[in-house]
Amino acid sequence: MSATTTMDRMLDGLPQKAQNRIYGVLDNLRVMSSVGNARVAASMAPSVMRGLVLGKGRTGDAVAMRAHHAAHFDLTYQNEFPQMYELYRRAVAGQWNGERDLDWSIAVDPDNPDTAVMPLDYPPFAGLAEKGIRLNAKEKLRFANDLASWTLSQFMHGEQGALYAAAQVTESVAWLDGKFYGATQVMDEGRHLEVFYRYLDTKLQKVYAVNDNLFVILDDLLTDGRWDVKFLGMQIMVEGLALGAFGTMYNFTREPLLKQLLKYVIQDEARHVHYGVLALRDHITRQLSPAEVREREDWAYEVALLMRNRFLSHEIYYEWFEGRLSLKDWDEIVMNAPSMAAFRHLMFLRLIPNLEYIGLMSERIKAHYAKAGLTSFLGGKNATQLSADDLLRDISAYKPEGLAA
Amino acid sequence: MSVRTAIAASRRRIVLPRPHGPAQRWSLHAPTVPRAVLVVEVRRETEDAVTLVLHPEDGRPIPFRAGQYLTHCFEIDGQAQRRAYSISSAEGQPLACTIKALPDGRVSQHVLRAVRPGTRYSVIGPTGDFVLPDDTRAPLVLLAGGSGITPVISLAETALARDPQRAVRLVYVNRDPARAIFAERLRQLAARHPALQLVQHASAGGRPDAAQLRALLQPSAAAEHYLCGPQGLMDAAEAALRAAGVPAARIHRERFIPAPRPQPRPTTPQPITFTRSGRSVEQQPGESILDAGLRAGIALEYSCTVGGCGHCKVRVLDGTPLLNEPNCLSEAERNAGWTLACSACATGPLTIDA
Repeated sequence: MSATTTMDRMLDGLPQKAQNRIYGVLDNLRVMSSVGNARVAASMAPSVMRGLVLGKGRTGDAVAMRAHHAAHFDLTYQNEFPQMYELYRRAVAGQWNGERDLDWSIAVDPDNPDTAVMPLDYPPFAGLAEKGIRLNAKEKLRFANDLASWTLSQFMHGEQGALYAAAQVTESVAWLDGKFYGATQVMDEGRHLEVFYRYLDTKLQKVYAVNDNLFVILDDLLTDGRWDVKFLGMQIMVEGLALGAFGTMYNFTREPLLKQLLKYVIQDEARHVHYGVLALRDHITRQLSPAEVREREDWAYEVALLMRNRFLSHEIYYEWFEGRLSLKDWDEIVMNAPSMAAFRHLMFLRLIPNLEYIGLMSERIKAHYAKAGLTSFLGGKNATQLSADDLLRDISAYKPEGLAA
Repeated sequence: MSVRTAIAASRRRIVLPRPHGPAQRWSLHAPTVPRAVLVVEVRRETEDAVTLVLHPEDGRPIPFRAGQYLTHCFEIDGQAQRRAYSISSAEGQPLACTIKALPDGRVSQHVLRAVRPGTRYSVIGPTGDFVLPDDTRAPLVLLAGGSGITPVISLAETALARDPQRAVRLVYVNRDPARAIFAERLRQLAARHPALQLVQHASAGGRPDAAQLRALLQPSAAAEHYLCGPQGLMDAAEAALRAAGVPAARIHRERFIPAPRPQPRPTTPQPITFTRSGRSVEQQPGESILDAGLRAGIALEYSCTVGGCGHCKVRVLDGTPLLNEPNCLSEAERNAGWTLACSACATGPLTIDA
């Protein structure tokens, strides 16, 4: 008999609220105990405490995240990186204007199926029905719209984190060309925050609180003092997650303003990942000790799994189904939904080749990724081989299984 | 972890509070494409003033701030006509604008005579920064002259709805207070809100002078002062407030631009060069610089389209455009070579810095 089954039986007799509370605590403990590398666990523990235990992301008006990095002030301006300068020039030329270039006069009608923000083939209605929850047509529409608001709200919170991380990375990077480039990324992230918030505030008119697990990731990388971990977290992991999430939404949505907005954002994000890959490859392959590389590998693996397994819309659960469904069942429904599979596919399609390119895919860690079923993405194109157009083409071409055409 | 911390952590916030609706910043650069509206009610306020209650045809709300205005686009006798009229409802209430007909006002007379429930037309906006301050506790001193009451009543009602205890002094100057717009609505507002000091002033004997204005307004350096009415009244009030020690930053004026007086326009295409965009455009008869530029896909900024907001201000590098008067350009701006793309047209070759 497995421990899970014993736990399930123990929980069975309790009221659902208590079941959820115990499941939540155990789940948080599982996050920490699943981290094999003690140094990684120790570095993430404070953020897990703040995000999952103390719920810092959902109380009060703001939260102070104390940074521990040093700003690298260049005194001689001799540290050149021509490829980064090239990326900087492209970033300057590619700046768009969230006010001018998007048609905010488009009236977003969430009830019109022809221009649905989140069409009805996205939410996990089949999984809900299997657990005995059947929504009528009106409820389904409202649920799909809430899920759209939730998803875009998390994009927005992620962009706020990205704004601060990009600023920190700009401070700590040693190459002058990296500082030039970083300044454009700060502008990019500020604009992304602007357009996502504006879309939510004026079109959907509903904004969800930051998800606990997303909060943990952002808190962790904003408070970590090591510049390369910050880079890895922000430019490779969070931007990789963002590309997967934005790409999924881009594929699903039929709302023209959001589609255009996401297209602009995806083009910027592709450049951000490219920058991270350029900055980290040399550093990881030539300058870190084997133990330091191992720690980064483990850290990236943990964050990848955290993002894959735990972006589970708990806020939507509490709003819609608390008392009707257990949190554990909800997690199962979301994890098995075809739309979630699409998200995972697009996320790892880019993430794995990039980790491979920068030198964080040793045979040792490959075995872990293989266990998680993620090695099929090895050997794919990394960020230095992809243009923004390639990326959009790949995203549009992907049709998840189990979804209506 | 203390018990209090544990309770706080377990209290789950799901949706973020948005008590005031969409943020003000989005409407500072106003929506610039006309939205179709249906007139659902016409309220006769006085013999020559009506309030139009408007419902957006697409069913989506038109978010607005108290004190802002809409540009109303009518077709009258086959000609497109645009006028800016203030929103007179409080934030959170159904969208309504109040229009006072001028004796020879082409659009305002049309509204009075022809607009009925069921009439359809379009609006642009809302636009305007004559809005409540960020400080939600600052006392308010409001001066309205005649039809200048339209944005002012929206400010007063919105401020008192948010905080019924807020100190609000509203001075309403009219030739005949008994026949003033919103006379009854203001009386009811004052009856419901003891914190509102409503002061009616009859100006049949002439506009109040500086001493009278000071006595009427009872200015305070800590209060935010809002002025809306005829130019002369606002100038006199501003001078009185400044003399009483009110900082300029605490004086807000609504610029009421009278209806434009169109002048004869060129009847043949005119070339316009936009230097920064590197594009040349043929302005067609009847088009403004803005119309011609937008038709060619040049990303020009604009908002009210009637010469009232200055958002479409562009610098003329060569040539002399014909500019409809009056408008909001200051003398200094004219001398520095600025014009308003929405209200000006080329009468010969023109080069614009845009």
